[in-house]
Amino acid sequence: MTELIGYNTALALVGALLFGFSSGHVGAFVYLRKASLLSDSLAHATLPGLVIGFLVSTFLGMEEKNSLVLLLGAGVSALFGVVVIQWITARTKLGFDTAIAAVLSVFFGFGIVLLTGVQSVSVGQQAGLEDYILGSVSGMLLQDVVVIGLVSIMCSAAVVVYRRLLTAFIFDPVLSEMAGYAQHRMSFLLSLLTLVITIIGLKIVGLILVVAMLTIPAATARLWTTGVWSMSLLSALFGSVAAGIGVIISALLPSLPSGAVIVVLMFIALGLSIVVTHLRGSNV
Amino acid sequence: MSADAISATELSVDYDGVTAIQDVDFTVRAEKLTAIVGPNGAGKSTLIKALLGLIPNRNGTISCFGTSPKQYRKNISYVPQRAQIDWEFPANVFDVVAMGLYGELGLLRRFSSAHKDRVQSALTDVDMADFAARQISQLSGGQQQRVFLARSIVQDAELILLDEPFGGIDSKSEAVIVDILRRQKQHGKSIVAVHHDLSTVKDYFDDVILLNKTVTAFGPINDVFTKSNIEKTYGVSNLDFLTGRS
Amino acid sequence: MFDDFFLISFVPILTGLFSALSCTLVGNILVLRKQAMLSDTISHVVLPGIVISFLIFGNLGSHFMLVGAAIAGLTAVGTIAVLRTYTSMDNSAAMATTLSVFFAAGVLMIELTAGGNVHLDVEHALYGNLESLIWIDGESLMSVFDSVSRQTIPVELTRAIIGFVLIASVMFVYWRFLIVSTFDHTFAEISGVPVGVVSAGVALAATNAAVISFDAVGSIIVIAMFVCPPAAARVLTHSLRDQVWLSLLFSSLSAVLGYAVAGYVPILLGFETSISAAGTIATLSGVILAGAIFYGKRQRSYDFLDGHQT
Repeated sequence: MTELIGYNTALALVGALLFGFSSGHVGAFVYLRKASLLSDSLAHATLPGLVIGFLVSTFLGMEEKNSLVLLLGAGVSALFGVVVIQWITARTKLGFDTAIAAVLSVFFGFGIVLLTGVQSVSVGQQAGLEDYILGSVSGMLLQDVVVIGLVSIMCSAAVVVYRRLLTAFIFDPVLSEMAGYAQHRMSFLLSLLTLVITIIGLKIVGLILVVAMLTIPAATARLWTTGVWSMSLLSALFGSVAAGIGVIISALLPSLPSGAVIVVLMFIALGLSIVVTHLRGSNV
Repeated sequence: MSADAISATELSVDYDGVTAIQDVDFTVRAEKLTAIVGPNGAGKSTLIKALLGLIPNRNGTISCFGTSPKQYRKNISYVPQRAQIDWEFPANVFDVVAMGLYGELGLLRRFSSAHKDRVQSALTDVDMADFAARQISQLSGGQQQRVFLARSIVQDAELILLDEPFGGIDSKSEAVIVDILRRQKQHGKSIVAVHHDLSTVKDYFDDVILLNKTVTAFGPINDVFTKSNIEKTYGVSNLDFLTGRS
Repeated sequence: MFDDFFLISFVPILTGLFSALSCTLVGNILVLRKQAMLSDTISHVVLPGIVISFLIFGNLGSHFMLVGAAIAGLTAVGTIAVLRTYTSMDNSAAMATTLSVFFAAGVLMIELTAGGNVHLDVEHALYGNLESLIWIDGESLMSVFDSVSRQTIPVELTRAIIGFVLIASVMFVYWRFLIVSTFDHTFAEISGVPVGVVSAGVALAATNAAVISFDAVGSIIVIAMFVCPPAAARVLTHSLRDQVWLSLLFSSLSAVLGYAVAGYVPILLGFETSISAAGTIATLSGVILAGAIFYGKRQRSYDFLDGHQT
């Protein structure tokens, strides 16, 4: 029995380390682009898709925890959220802030309706769906870790390849456009990375707190360094360590949702960094 | 002979931690139209904010008719840059002008028919009475500016400060607005406007303050708005096309 | 099915209604100030305050909950200020950090002390507990006028009504200041409007609305009540007065219809249990917003033509 727990924890740990790394890596650029709250809205908008994915996989007779179908549903749902945000800002005088707040809350509310609906018609076991809200690594399977790990590596690889273009785009969009890289393409790339990170993070940190993965490590790294590339690597390191420790704590105390533990850990690191860099008189 | 509306001595103002205005002295004559002119980043808007008492001066003093800007605030009206306003705000022309009376009304005093008449007469002064019920986003740039002028008229302030009143407005509307400002001057108001179009300074204004972090020169247009002073302010030469007109 | 209306549905409907109306009133100002996401931050950060008050006083009925939430709100405002001063964060990053860490702390507190609490759990924080507000002595409309029966009305309803009256009257008195400082901040400051006090007051009113709505709809769905009805009304009208009244109408519709749909439609369809009332309320407010945008677009083009004729 103890061996089994050890195996599960080890699996979750690998997933968390890889996810923490790539979320910190991507997060550095999201942070510099000042798009934190957009990612918060996207994360909440995944809920209806998660539940629909769950229903689809149940009716297709798959195992109910087929995470690929669930994550696909989450992705479609969040993409629809992006479309709605753009529709609202383009067609009305409502501001961006109003559009993201409306999408965040309405999508989440509709997701809760679906979730409670699934509970009341009790198709299969809905156990596990709520884990995606606050994160839980207790039931993580090998296939989950493989998906999370591979996608994390792909996201980090994309950041490595596009790091200069992303930096140029964030610092001076017009200059980057003049150099031949259309703004909407770079903007799309960054949104896509945000979306993918958000979705693979659902299991580990949950949809409410995933925004913290994209924000807090980046802000912490920014205190220690001035270069974009070094900042993104440091941010990846912070994200990875916090996610790793958080998963271990959550595995030892299963009632604690891993997402909440990770966020508190990252915030402690941020607080310590503020104090230390300030005492050091860092000029960053 | 009338007193000075504004006088500044050894004035320095910081904005966002950077020195925007350094050690300037100038006076603004009462009952005149005065332009603040200078290149981008010269501290024009900062100066307006300091005159409104919105940002503290690091050094020196400003006085408006003998008192500090903060104490004098009730007698100052301010017309913001059009770009600073959310024109989709759910308000019509009447509502915006009525806001000019909010300071006087406070929270609980009733908006009486006498107040309504004052708003109407201010709208008539700027020839916008027919537009009272129009939503502000459905006005031309010049009309929007006239609404804000009506708001400052209804305040009945002694000193009117305008931040780029002619920004993004066609020349016909400019002429209408200058006309309104001149009438206000005849009613005894002192008017200071940030202005960026050097070619119209001589036509529109009586006095000028040439500003580029420091005041290069100030006083009546004919004495001060000279080729050499403008070159000194803008740091370039060959500005003949601007001053050669008169 | 409607026999036990006063026992089961009367209090939840009114609590939902007054919570929604309070949020919508403040939301009108937030939307105009382009601070809609402030409702996101505030509704998350009040959670630890609510949990701590709950742990100290043992139930959610305590009025100290408001104090706890207000303290949490003020601490959050301080945290945002510290983050903006000592890190390179902009406002949105500081808000995202603060809301996630406060919410995480609240969740951990709930879980760490979960043993004896049946009244406060994470689900409650996520989607409210409207359905649990049962009025034991509620038999008929006459019970409302019976002072003995009235004593068993859940305190959540009383608090929602008091909160709504408080927010509505403060906003009524400060209306001119609110509007002028929202429309033209600099002008307001020169006119002697205490703009700092007004901003703090807006945040405090939002905290108050978020706390009284916590029981009804939880801390995330409440954002829909802040944002959707004012946004829908704003799309449909240019007049501020119409916007406020329309938004209150939309808000009432969402709250009352949402509860009815959630409670009765699944039963009519033959299912045993109901769906989340809070989620249905949020969904309905979103449907109304979408409808307003579709309808409002048409109306806007008429305005455009009208403008050309004159």
